[in-house]
Amino acid sequence: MTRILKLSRRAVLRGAGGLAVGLPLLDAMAPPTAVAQAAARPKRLVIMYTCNGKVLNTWTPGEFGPNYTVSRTLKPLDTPALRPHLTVLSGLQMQAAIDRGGNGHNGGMTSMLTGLQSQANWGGGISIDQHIAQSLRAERPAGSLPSLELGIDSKKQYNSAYAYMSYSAAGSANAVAADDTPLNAYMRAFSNVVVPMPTADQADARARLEREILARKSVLDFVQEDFKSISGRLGADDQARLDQHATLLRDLEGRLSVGGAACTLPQQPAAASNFPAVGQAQMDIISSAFACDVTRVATLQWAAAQSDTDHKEWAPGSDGRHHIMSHGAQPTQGMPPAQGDVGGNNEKLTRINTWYASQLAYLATALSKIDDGGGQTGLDNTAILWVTEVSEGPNHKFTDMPWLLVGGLGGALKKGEHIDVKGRNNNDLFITLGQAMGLPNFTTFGDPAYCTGPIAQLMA
Amino acid sequence: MRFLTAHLCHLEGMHASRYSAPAGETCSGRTHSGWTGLRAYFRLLPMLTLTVGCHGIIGSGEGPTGGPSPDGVPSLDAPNQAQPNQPGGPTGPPSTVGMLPPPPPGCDQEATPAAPLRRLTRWEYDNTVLDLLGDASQPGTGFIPEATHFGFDNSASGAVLSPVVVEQYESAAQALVARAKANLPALLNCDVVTQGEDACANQFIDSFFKRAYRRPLEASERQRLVDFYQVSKSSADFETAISMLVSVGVQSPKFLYRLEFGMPSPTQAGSVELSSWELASRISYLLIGSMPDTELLSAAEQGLLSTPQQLLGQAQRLLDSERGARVVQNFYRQWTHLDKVGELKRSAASFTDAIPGLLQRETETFVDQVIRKGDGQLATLLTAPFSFMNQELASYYGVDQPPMGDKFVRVELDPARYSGLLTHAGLMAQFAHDEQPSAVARGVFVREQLLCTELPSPPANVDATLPEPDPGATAREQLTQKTSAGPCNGCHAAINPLGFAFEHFDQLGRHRTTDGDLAINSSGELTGTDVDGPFVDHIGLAQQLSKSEMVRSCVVTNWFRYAHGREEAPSDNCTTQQLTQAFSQSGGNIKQLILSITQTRAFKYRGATMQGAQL
Repeated sequence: MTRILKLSRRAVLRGAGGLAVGLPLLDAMAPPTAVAQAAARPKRLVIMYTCNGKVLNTWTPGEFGPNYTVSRTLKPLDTPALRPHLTVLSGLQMQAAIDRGGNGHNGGMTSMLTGLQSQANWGGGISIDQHIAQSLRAERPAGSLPSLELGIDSKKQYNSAYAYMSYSAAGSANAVAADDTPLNAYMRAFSNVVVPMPTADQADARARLEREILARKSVLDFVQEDFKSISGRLGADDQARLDQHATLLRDLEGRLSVGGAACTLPQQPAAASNFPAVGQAQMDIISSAFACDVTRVATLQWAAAQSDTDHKEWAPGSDGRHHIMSHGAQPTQGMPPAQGDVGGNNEKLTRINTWYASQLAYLATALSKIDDGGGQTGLDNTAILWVTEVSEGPNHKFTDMPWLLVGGLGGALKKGEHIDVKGRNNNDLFITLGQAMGLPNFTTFGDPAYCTGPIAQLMA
Repeated sequence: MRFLTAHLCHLEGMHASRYSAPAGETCSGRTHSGWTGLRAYFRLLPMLTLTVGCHGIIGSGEGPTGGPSPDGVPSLDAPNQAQPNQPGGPTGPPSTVGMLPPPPPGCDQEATPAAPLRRLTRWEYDNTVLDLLGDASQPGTGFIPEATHFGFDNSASGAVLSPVVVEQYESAAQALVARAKANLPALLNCDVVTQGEDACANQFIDSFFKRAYRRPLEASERQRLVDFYQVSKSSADFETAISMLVSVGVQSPKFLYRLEFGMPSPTQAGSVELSSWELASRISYLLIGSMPDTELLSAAEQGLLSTPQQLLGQAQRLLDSERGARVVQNFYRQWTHLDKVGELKRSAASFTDAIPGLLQRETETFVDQVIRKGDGQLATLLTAPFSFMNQELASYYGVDQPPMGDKFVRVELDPARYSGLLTHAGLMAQFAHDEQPSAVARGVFVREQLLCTELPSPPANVDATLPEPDPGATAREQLTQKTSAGPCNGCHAAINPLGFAFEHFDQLGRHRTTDGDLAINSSGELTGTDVDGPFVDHIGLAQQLSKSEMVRSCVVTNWFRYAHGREEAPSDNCTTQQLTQAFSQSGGNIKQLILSITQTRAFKYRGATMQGAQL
């Protein structure tokens, strides 16, 4: 299944304008280079999102501590390789969404990664993935991407704030879109990655690519000057929009360079036909991008808040519209299953979420195949945070958020336990993650009123 | 309790936000926008009073029926009827087509609302590179979609800006440049051999950037481009240097954004008059969804866009051109959620893979034939007993004497069964489940899209699943039973009857005479409008709606939002009142409404910013 790390017979040099130059595979490419190893096992973050909450009594393990029994929903993660990495959270809440009130899916979606109340129904500020991505700017290799935002049908049903979870700043203009097309994502991640090229032919190819990139950078430079030349002639909101566009151009220009990393390029994804196939292609890109160190932060967004995806074709026995069924279910917390399961919806929802757990297992397994050197795997140095925007579908509550972590961020996080965080907010979880990623002076995130500091139970 | 009531609108999964949610949230955000529109409406219809049955649905009242409305069903004029190309040209009474009545008293003092900066939509980008470079590859279709605000994808606030968006512009530019470079002589239109590279480049800079930036270059920016060309040429070659200019042209903010700095000195406090070039772009993107053509640029250059008649003349010319069709179709594609029709799947064998595309084409053809080439009347749009089909689609409908072949032609339909756009099979099938129609979805469509009612979101704890099919009860009976309980009734009393009116259309969008073995009851009562009253079926309901001032006001609201890429503000009242009055006086002529948008203050001015005012 891990075709991402299977060595391709021909590493493909992708140049500007989609030109591809085939190059012989070099033996030296397979393991991380000395340089990459010296960079000391980069810590990486993945945030995986699925929508419409969970069924708590098939999600929550029965016991706390390291010896918990893996719940039915999480069974796909109950393997010898993954179980030691699996940390299930209980008692987590999103006070920002609680205080915001209103429709649960929107409030949850906008507060989920920002720790802020929404503004005009869009995110009220930067999200944790973007914040960490920006904070890692100095230590990432030249030419690498701050982050990859990948989606699967993320804007199929809704083209609104429901479809966005990441923000670079407050408001709709600063919502960070997930890309639903694996080929686009592939090009973003790998178009400028060039393998070492000792021969004269390869040097020519490299020179050609360098000329193209120089021309592109020259154009981007000129266009940025265009932005400057019109600065100050419009109102503040409009100016902010233009400024952000110029900043994004500067970022793009800054990372256009030949040879962003030395690694084995994955196969270019084929056109994916359906939901699971797109998902797998996107996960392959994430694990390859981490292996090549072309980015250290990724988001993976399955559908969007309140989506009605029918999962029956890949999650047998889950027939029906996801969001609608989540309303037709009954709250399960504190109720015996027999009373809580109306019309079979809880069973169907459990099957859906078990399928998503199997997808997470696929991604985690792929990361566990990355050789970070020193006997460590990519998964050892990554945290995958699985989030959803509401707790349970029927009541849309923002307490007892069914979130979990896989991976330990290089030993900074406790792993393999079911932990009661006793009412701490997602803000504090993000502080915990930020500190575990090694960000200095990271003591608040989102609205400081919702922060008390890192969650000690989660730190190793 | 009322909150719960309101939220039951969620039944059957029809959610208000699906239609036009600016932010995916109906309870809070959209309600504001809704009330803004309604406030404007109530100024026109002061006798209407608010009641609260379902939060968001405005209350009953004896509204005026207002304005002349056509008797019976108008027939289409011949396509492309001769229309003298003159300002205020004739499409029937009144003779001042598209002209507006004088603004209400006090309007001269009213500040013009800020016009937020708009970026080209993906659709506008594709249209523009087609006109600019002759490149029909439509790179924009692969861009990240805009967020839909106020019902449309072209709002300034919906132009989400992400790293990937900027990257997509850059990679699209490379692809466009690669193709342009392959046909460089055509692009340059200059003989390099006889005139020399630099002379051709200079000429190209002037001609290309005037079109790309939709205005002539200023001296300083021209010099920068010339310098850029020289440096590029010296470090690469002539062709590369020209290519890089093109790449700049399609990535510059002057191309991607609709920059409106306005005239140097504001003529009125708080307002800045747009330059003729900026007006040319407004006209062009409103009427053809693309950059100004040669004639419009020429008019801007000669100062021939200063009078209302001149603006109107250009608007009419463009709307009457074939490219005008794509704007009308773009608007109604979004208003009817026609893209969703393309994704429809039904298990019935007759619903072949070809049907969704044909249904889309029917609606696109119909709206264009009625609005641009027909009588333009809202009533025709809602009640016409004819449509446009090819043989395959006519067979799907079960038309008695279907046309032959693949060409879409006008087909006469039974006026006792069909009523314009509202009974298009695409619309009816879209608002349905696989096995049965959705009265709630149809009712919500009428409330939201025709009456501009803001419907709230559902509460969390409702059972929104469909009743199990019961051969002994019609879908209407089952739904009524499920929603008539206390808290549900508030919204559903207002929604369900408008959906039940269409019970004669099954989940495939086709007319039916029974629901299973049971008789159909499509009667009901329209409430909360200026044309309240009982109806027998969808034909009657459509007749009522076609006479409603509230529906006309809603049409104006929607076209205003589409035209300006923003929600109407309180200081747009003068503009919306003028438009609404003119629309009523024309008997509800949508084509005239589109044209008359160019005659309003909001079209010719933008609000002054601190910076703008100083210029």
